[in-house]
Amino acid sequence: MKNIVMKSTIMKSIAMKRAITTFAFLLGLASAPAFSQQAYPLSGTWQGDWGVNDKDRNFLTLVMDWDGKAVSGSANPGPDSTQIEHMTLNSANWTVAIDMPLKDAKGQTVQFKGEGAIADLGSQTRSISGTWSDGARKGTFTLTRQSGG
Amino acid sequence: MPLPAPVGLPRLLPCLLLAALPLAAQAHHPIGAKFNTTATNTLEGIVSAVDWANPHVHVYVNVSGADGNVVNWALELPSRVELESSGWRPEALVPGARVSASGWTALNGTHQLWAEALTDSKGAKLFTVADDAMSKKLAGRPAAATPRWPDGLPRLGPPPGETGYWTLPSRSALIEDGQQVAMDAYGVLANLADAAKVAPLQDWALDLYRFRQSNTLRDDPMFLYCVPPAGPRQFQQLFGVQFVEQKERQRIFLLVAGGNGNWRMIYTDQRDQVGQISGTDDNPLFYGNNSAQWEGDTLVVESSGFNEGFWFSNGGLPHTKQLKLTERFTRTDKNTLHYQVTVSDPGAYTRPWTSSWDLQWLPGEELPEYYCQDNRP
Repeated sequence: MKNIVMKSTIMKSIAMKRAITTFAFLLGLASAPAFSQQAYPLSGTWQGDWGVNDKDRNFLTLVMDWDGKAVSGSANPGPDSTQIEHMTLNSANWTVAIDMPLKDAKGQTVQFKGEGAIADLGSQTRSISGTWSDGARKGTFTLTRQSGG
Repeated sequence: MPLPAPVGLPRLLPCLLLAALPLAAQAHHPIGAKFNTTATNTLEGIVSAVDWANPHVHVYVNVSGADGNVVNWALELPSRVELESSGWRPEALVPGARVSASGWTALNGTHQLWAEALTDSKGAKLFTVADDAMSKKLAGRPAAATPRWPDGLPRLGPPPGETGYWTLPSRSALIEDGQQVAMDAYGVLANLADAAKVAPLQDWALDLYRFRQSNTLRDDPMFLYCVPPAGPRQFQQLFGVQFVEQKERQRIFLLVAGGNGNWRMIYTDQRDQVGQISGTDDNPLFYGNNSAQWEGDTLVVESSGFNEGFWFSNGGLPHTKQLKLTERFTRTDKNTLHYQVTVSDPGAYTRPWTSSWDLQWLPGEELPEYYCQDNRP
């Protein structure tokens, strides 16, 4: 009986943590429009997916910021969040290069090295599409910037 | 370019297939956000109504097609402010009159035409705008001393018993002082190669500025979404600004007649903005966090806490949330307001830089009723 109560308490604690994490994540998304970026093309919150083919896709959220010298940010805010290790923008042709660890749907970590191009640059909901690789694994990714303000 | 069906008919004369009109397009950047400025079309019909209003006057015209169908077109023209400054009144055109128009059709395919030229049945041009009409109106005014409050400080608004507001900026967009760069009233460069001279832009910001310029500024959020012309852009609007000084509350309201008819509040006692207008990193604003004080006869306003949802200058110069402005307002005489702004934004520029220009006092008027949201149809 004591074990059941303890297990129940632990489960409630985990559920509470998940609820708090989810709430914090949603709160972050809800406040994203207030930080709407018109200027540096990569700044803001982006959503899309990546995968090795059309059927095997993984949800992807990137939150990026520009400090005047470098892009920083994170992927998939929440329990499986990872940090962007390297992100560059080539404004001569509006292409991007990104390097970061990501967890796929099976929980395996991929060292995501992607290259893509920005489409519809002048729009708040501009997009990036391109290809990624991790050794022999490779595929495509797409991202669309979240609108707002 | 054929007009959208069912109007691509003989009466509409889809002529003048001028594949590219770069100069004309550049002269009308806000128009490019709504109309296809790369090809000119002509139509002819009978006026059904004249909507004499800001931000743009519309003339509605019934156009008959060869198949007998009649389509009502909306011809869009400059603002009521501009037309009346050029001496026009709505009575110049009445329902029933026959007109012909040439211009650009709407990008979304609706029956709208930006009328570059409008003529009556006798071929007389209607509703033409003289670019120098306002400056001619203000030329030759007698010089007068700067009006002052009882405490000796300059009045930035109208003297007691008078009306008026500030307009006719001598510079239409931010350009670093000392640089000679030709551009039109909307900040479109005469020569795109001059882009790097405008301001000390970082590489990405220069490329984005060039993109916006070469795209005829059609992504300008002020025209697309009616967001405020915040920052220095407040003082680049033809439709004017007004200072409402509340000495007893130690604050100044800055009313803006262009864009979406908005206001900015400036405290003169260095108190913090609080609540929804705190203007902090967590709460960035269009008009930012402002703090002002007088240095002699000059009002100096420091501001930061801007969001990135607007263009802070005509012409599309980028800024980031790291933007800080130092603005200096000096009413050098009754009719002249000297404006100077120092831009500090390490997110977009390589160093701080300064731009300045003058505005003219338009007496006997109040700010016009002008809301960009009201751009019928």
